Amino acid sequence: MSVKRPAGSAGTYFETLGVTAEVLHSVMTEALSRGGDNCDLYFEHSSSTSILLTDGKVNQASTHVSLGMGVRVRAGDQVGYAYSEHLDANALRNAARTAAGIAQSAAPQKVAAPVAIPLPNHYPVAHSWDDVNIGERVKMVRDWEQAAFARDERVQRVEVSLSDAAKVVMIVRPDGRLVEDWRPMTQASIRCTVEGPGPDGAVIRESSGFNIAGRAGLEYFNEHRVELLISEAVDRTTFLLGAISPKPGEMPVVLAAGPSAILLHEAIGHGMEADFNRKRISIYADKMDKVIANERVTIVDDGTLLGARGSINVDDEGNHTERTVLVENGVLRSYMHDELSANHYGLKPTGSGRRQSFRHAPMPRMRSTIMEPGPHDPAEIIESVENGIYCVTFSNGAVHIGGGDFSFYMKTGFLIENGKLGAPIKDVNIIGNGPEALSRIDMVGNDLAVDEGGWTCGKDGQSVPVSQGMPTVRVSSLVVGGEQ
Amino acid sequence: MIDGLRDTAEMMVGIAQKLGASEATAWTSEGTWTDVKQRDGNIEKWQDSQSKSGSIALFVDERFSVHSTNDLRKDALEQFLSRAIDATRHLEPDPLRSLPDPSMMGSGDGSGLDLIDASSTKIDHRTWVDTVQRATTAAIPKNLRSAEGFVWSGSSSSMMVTSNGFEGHHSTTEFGHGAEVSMEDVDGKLPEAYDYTVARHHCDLMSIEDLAAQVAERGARQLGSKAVASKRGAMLVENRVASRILGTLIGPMGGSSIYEQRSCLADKLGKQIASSAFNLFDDPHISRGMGSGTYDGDGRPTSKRTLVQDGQLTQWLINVYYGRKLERDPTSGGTSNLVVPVGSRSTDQILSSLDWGIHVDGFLGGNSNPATGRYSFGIRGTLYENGKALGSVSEMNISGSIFDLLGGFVEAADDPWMNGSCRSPSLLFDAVQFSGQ
Repeated sequence: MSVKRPAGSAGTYFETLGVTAEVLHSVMTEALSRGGDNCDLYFEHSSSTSILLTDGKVNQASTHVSLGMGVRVRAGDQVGYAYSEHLDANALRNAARTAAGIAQSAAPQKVAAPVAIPLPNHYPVAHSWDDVNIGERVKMVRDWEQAAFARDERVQRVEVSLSDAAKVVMIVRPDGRLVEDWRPMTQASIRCTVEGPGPDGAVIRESSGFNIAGRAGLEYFNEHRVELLISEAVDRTTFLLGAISPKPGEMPVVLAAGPSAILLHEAIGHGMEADFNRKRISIYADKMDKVIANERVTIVDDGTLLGARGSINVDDEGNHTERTVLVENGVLRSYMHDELSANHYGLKPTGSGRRQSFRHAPMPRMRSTIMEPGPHDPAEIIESVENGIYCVTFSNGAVHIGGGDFSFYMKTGFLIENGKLGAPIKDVNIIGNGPEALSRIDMVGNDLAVDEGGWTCGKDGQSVPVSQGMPTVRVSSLVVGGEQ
Repeated sequence: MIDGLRDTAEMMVGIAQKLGASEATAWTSEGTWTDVKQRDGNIEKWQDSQSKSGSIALFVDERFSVHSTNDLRKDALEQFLSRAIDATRHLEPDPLRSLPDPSMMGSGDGSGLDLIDASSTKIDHRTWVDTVQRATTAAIPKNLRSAEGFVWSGSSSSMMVTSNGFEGHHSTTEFGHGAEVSMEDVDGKLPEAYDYTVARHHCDLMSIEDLAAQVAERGARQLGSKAVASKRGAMLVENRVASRILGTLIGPMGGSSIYEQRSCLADKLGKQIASSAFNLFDDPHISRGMGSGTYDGDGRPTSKRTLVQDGQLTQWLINVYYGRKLERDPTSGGTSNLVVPVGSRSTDQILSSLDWGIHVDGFLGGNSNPATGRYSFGIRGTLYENGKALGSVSEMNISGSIFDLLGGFVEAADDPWMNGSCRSPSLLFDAVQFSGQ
């Protein structure tokens, strides 16, 4: 039931739904009729299908379809936004008229005829979900369930979900730019409940799991990924049975390569989204070209990684996406810009304008946030810590943009005692301050890993898919939760 | 509006049955929304929204699926439902999936709950947001970096129709305003603070002046915050963030968590899970309540329920389907308005009686494990010693077991939070593990 990759040239997908060049012209003319400086029309047709195996049966399915257009009108830094869930010309013009109300002058802008702009393809799909029927999907999740049970006898219950989604978006601008992007997404998750002896020998129960996601088709589930999905789901859960709570307090923290990049996302990424800086409310607002991190730290935000969950061929304002260097050898080099902030700073947008759907106005967002590898051997990093913790997996994080305080929740890890990994630990929150944590990253590993997890970033009520990655790093001090 | 929603819902159920569904439940909804933000004297964003959507639960040959769409034209719905029913036939059967008996269902009329303010439909949002911001900035004379005022209003209606005769509708209005300030601290940090008020009726909103005074006080309180040494001690959780603590209980109360054996409350029904001072209710019939309603997701009539009484867990949250799986009577699968009864002392009285404790006014991240009841949250707030405020704290965590936390529950203050569906007063807990320097 998925929205298929458009077969025709850019613009024809929505043209067949009645959105002709004449309609586009009339809607944009309406949007700029009150003197707005600029506008964008964002058309979106999305669909998703998911099935769920629970209690030994694949007996739930859900599908979702959504169609509409959002129109944003800009007057200086001010934004008017409205949307329509009908694509007939009158409904679209009504939405445009509503959004136009943000501007108060009577000088309408000219609108150029749309010309399709070609895009790169950062997510080629070999095997589309269109021709994979529900019966075939049922077999896949059944096999995964069986493999999860077979992996460890302590597994008591298994839940598996498999979903695919796709959307066609078309963005049209008054300068004539028209882009069309087809965005696939494939995601699977396994959740296990396990039972076995806990640290003190008494039988306890734990529940956890793993999920993976990427912009791909059926081919995403190659042997390697299926093995990863099953083994991580089971092993991360059984790990919890033997894990303890660390002692609370401030201590050195070693972050394992891959999932630990949630640190980048929370401690650094959000504060470098340019809207917060344009408004002067980010802790990084006055730090451009200044040293904000150890010289070993280089951080990029990249929209172009092949098949990554956070990749986009074009951003949701119609601007080319790119690899943006945020921090270079410890020096702040760029924020992530949408057009609004780029205009404000007199810069080119970085292709970071993203939105959840046509119901939302775009804003600067992360794509795939990555810390480049450094010189250290990961083993050497662990050996360097006398007493601290080694964090392996995480579930969620949060940040205060202005104060800079951030936190992330460690699901699994180990104590480090005299340079060696000690007892397994679980379920503690770790809290710090972004700039302080950056300056305390004093060792960077040579083992960069991009996490396969299906991360979703929330900001101002909008969710977008993101990716993240980093090598093993040492942060000399963070505040770790736990119990005496 | 209601007639259109009913017609669409009935049409969806009719098409589904014609195409082979044995039973179906359709939900349709429609809403309008205006959302305006102003920063430092300029309108920043103005959004007007109008949306409509439909979803349907299909029961086809003992198989079950759920589908939603916003394309509600008849021919589009026919195509959509035809594919949905075909897909459902490929699933494995689940004989426990069927609509509840009509005798279990309610009347579905929510008009007695006073959830609609029909007199405030013409609102000048521009003036409203200007006033919020002016009042806010006037109350914060120094250390202010930037201030944002925001207002919103909206109305929504929804309809639920089942193929066995239930029809319910739920219409509400909502109004809110608030402000966020960024302060300039001496160390270059820009700590932020916000507050808001929300109500079903415009006249019930906290006044802009009172709101502004609160935001000012919160903003000033953020300055100079730091972590203090790790310690076990008292924690007074402010009413507006108490839902974070109560939420650690609500997840594991759910029928699916219980059935799937990933709930720390699976063996706790009728047992002591908190100190005897702790009581928790779910009350769907509060007049003008943000979570109020007359029927649940199964179309069953709602009623006030005791979830925890004198510290004992008295109920799980079981819908009709999980009731069948667990072989228990359903109790309703979700919550409406959570209520912790108010206590007798004010927060000032409580704080002035603390030897050592932290008044937590915000959480930052963290999580809880529903299978074990372990939690760990980032916090910020104000440190109290010998009844006196010593300064604000941040970059600290609390961690432990929710059973230990609730076992250390001492009292509720006299200040129920009215701006949402969690009507908890501020809550005092003893012997909470704080981690800091």
